Amino acid sequence: MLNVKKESDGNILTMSLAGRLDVASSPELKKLLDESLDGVERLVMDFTELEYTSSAGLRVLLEAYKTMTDRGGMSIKNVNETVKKVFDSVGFSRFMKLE
Amino acid sequence: MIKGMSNEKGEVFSLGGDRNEIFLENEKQANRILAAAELVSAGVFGLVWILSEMEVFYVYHLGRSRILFLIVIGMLLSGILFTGKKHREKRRMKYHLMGTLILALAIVGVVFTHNVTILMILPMVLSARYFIPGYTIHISAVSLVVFSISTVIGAFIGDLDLNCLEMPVNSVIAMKKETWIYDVIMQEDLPYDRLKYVKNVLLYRYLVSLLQAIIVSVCSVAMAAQGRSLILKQRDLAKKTAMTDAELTLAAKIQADVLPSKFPAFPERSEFDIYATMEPAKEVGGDFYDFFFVDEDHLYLCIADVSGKGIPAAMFMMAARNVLAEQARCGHTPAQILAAANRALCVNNTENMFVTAWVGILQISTGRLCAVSAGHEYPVVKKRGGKYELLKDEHGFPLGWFDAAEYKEYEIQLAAESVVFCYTDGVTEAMDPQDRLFGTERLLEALNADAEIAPEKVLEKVRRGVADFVKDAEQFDDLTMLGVLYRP
Repeated sequence: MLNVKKESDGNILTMSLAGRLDVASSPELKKLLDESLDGVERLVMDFTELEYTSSAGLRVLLEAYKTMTDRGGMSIKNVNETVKKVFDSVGFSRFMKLE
Repeated sequence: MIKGMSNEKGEVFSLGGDRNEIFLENEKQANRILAAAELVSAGVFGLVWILSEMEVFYVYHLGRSRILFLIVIGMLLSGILFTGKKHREKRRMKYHLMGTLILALAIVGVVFTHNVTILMILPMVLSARYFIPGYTIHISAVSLVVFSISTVIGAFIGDLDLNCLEMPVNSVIAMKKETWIYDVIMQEDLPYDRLKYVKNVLLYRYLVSLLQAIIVSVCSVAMAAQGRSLILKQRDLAKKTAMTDAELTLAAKIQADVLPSKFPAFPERSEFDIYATMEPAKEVGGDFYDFFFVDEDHLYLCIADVSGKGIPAAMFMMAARNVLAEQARCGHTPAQILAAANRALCVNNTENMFVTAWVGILQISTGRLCAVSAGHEYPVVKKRGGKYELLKDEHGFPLGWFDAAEYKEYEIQLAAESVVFCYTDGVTEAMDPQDRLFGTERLLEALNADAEIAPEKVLEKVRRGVADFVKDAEQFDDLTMLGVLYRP
């Protein structure tokens, strides 16, 4: 179960994720991102309420990261310990801007 | 086509059978409903009979109606008896059951006439359950004919419908408390034109019900037709599912077959012992392990986990396993193997699939293990006399992310009796019913519970530890382990 809150401020899009980003919810997030990223200069992901991410979730995040690299970039904030561990273990933290 | 999948009770479900089989099976179920309808009717009519005998209901000519009731209940019971095992399979069963039902209802109609016109539509509605539009049309036609006959007979000998009765103007009918109006008319011999009464009954009562019954009949035919197409759709679906299942089973077999699964894997080599298992969460999975001798002295070891699970992961897994093995066979170092495999897997990877992998090359003669990690779980190493401990190696990017990714290999020296244990996140992220993760601490605890070093036993122990932890929770991710014991 994943809930996403979208907030637009000019060209900056903030997405707040709550719940679990797993095999079931990742495709939905991907679809949402595909629909939302048009004209967005900067993407901010707020993970305050994200409990868990699986490798399928990483895939979607990586895709968003690649899309945003050519524009203003993407950053993730408020990553909890569990998610941070996953990020660290695959080296996500090395290129993804974590706030 | 799968036929004869039977459950414990021996009932046969025909999946993907031909049309006739499906409708025959459906007919048996519909017969059951019809038999139930007859049983309920028999019960209700029996109750009505008792109430009539107790004079709660008034039945004109009680004596005559007794015989009719006997016939009704007898017919219904005979209909039910006919559904016994011996006859259940017969095609004409549906005509027999429906025939007894219509006749029985018609006889009730003779006695109770205008009070029970609603019974006329019951056979039509029930016939829709057979999903044979032609049958429903037949039954509707037969019902209309039979019920018109019963209406005529009922007009002569059944309950009087006062609405259809014409009397001379200013006739006065007085009814006493203990006398029913029919008695007044019949016993006092009030004059009324019987033929006119029959004509009125047919015109004002039967015709009206007939028109209403036509609505029900048309709807029933439509329901039967829709039910029929639904059943055919369901059959197609069952067929497809069965085919997909069969394909998946085969795919799972193919996938399992590409992994070395014969143990002991190298019975002629006593310098080491190796054991590995892969358990997909679904039929096929994205995890894999691999090992083989690159040359006489160098053993290639690999464990990997493709993002996601199921068929997409399995397809990527096959590609990843092959490209890694290919690079390894060229005699490259682990870092070179990963770098080359990564470049290959990045090509046209539009879905951004990726795989975490740990690759090691063990030199058997010296015990030197050269390894590299592409974002894979930390391996566990046990040195002689020591404990199982996490080896916090440096992580490169998973394969498939960035084609320019570089990988840094490291070396560890294995002394005799050393164990290297690798696993995928299916082990550490196994969840108990409270959504807690198994984690590396529980993994180390399980490994250190005793001094076991034989790889097969070690893997079994961990698997048991995970199973005890997750209890009845569903296996969420693929679960793969690889263990090597070095004993030169």
